[in-house]
Amino acid sequence: MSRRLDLVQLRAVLLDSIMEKHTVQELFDSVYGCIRLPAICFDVSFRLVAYAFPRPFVFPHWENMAATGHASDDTVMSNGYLGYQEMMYAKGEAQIFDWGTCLSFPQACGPVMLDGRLIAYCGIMLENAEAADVLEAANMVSKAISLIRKSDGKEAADSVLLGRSAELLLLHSSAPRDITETVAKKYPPQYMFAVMKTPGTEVSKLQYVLGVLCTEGGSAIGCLKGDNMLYVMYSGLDTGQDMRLMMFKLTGTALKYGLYVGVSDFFSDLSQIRTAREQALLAADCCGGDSGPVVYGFRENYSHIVGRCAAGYFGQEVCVPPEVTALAMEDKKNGTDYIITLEAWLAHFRRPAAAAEALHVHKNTVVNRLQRIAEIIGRDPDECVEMLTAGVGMLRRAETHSREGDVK
Amino acid sequence: MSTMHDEISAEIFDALAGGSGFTQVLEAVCSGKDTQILFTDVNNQPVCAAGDNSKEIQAAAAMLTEQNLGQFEDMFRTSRPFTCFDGEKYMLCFPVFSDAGPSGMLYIRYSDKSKLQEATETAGILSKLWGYFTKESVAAYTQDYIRAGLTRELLLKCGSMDHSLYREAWNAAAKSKTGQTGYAAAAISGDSPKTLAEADKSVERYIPQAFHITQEGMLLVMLTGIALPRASADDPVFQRFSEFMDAFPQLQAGVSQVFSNLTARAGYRKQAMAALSLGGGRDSLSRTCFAEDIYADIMAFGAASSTGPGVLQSSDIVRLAECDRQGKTNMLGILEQYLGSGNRMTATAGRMYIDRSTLKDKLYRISRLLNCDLDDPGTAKNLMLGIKMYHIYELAHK
Repeated sequence: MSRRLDLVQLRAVLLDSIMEKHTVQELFDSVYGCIRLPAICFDVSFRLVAYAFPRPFVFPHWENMAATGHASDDTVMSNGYLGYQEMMYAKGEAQIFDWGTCLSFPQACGPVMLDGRLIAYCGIMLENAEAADVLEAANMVSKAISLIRKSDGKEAADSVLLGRSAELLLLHSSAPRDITETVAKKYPPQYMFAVMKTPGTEVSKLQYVLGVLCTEGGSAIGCLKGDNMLYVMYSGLDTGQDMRLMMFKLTGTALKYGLYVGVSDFFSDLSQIRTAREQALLAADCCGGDSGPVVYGFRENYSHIVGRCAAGYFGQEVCVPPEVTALAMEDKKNGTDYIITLEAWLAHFRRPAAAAEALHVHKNTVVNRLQRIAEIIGRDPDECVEMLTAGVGMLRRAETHSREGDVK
Repeated sequence: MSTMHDEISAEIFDALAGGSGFTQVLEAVCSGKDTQILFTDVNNQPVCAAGDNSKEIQAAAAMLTEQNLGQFEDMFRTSRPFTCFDGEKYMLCFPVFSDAGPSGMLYIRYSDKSKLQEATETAGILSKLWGYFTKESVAAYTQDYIRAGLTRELLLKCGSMDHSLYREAWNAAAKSKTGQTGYAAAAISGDSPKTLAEADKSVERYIPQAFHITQEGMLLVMLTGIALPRASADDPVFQRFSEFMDAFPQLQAGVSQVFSNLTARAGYRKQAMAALSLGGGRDSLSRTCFAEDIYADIMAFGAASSTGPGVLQSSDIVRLAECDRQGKTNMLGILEQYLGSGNRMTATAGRMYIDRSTLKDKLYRISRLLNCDLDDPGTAKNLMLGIKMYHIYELAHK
């Protein structure tokens, strides 16, 4: 027969702790004294906030966290912690976990929310107690943690201020001047804005990634946008050196956590943050698809992004000029290679010899094809280079678009 | 027991039997009641009015039409009347149809809200009576209405023209002209609203197969019957368009590429408007700017228009322009010339009247500043586009 918990007494204990302005650890000590069940609380980055259980503890995951003060990135990812946390966030209250890593250690775990934001998780082992009681206890403790955090002097210090500043800057682009100046002092130029997207709602994962990327004393600030996007601003970058390194790092992050990342151009003034955010969002829109890249940079894909914007404004069909359409039709109908010849010729600064080398054909073949192209489009390609460059780019965009449409 | 319908019918019958014309019938219906009636044609021009102070209803109808043009069109499409309160009295607007299509609008203005049913019954009977009196003239009104609707569909809307009336009118219009199946959109601006209004009135005189409308200070024209695939100065339609522009020296025009798919017309309309914006700033002497002549600029303009201010600005180009401003150099111009010549050193130096080694030195400084290889094809392409976008934003800024 399961043990019943004295929830009335627990409520009184929690209230006392709140009124006495206890720390979360002190609260946990009191809770353990009341319900005699092991409990733990850790933040969204899996850093230990408080625990109450005898050590060494039998459940290795909690013991490890109590011993090191956090769960390592490897532990989080290899044990699928984020999956559990996502379920907690989705339900919005405590639930029983008795499978996976919790198989022999059933526990009631739930999210700790503060002002609508996820700030931590709280878990209590079931052991011999009534499951319904433990669930209610876990919910009560979560609320008490939230209340303590709200009135906690430490919380109101740097990290909260920084979090709010980050939100004002990154989400609304409208932080008061003093905040902008403080941020600019702590985070010097050059800047770069990154938008990280998850395919679905994955708040716990994004909160976790935010914690990983935006550490205290680090060079990045960030905040969540809705329940599937993370905005991060990197600072102190060297425009000459850092872009490749950043892209490499971001690719690693994107692959590890299953994210799509759009990256803005460099910028040096925080007043340009709105523009940078739109650039990053435009770049992020290009990510994904079956074989698409997971990280897309505004700078590296500038012409593609501009083409995409133009197609969005005029419509795909309007953007491909009739000359290029005529060449593509000819290729399709007669199996000619006018478009790839044109592409190679344009890419190699209109030098037939270089284009021929790239295409592995004789120079005269390229020259002959260019003559035929001139006949089809009714003018010398040398006289309409800009149109052909933009037009061929638009044709390729339209082809990709149509292929993606077919797949969908 | 007689119904309200019967009573109104009897009243109208008496008037008719007494030899009254349509206006007199309306006067008979209004007699002794606090009611005004107005009948307008499909262009909303008053045909006849009755009742005390009938000018009031004309003014109320004109104001209503001005405010609800779209709703009026929908009313003809759905055949559904609507009522409104003009601050003083209630007014029923009743679309009138004949067998051939829409033929006008009947307005009944009354002060007592409870008279709506009576007004509706009266409008129903009078609308039939209008058909009785105007068998001959209906077709002309219908054609006017359909052409006006078709013009709006063509020039202001997008997607398919699925209204059967428009489709038939379009087929008829398309068949009767040049036999060619290309279209082009033109956007025209003038130095004053008066010039534009005069030009609007004259479009059909110069280009009979064109549809046109003035909207937000711009005259939009859809040219039809053009030979595909490209605009040519020899094309009779463009020749007529050129004559039209010659007749109005105060006009500037942007013309889209020639197209054949009408469902994409909204994009070509934007293209014409972009050509007008770019052409005006670029060359005030040549007053017609063809989109195909500045295709790459048009694409850049569209991209810039679809995003916030400066979003597609390249930071490299901005930095280069900033250095030029500060050091009074011309690095941006040099880079533009070099990339425009296909990265040919001698040709660029010749075009800029500078020594080849001077150019080489300047290009080296530019590549150092931007920390990139100017002769890398991808970099060169992005820089060239960045310069184009820079000019577009500069133009917008002016």
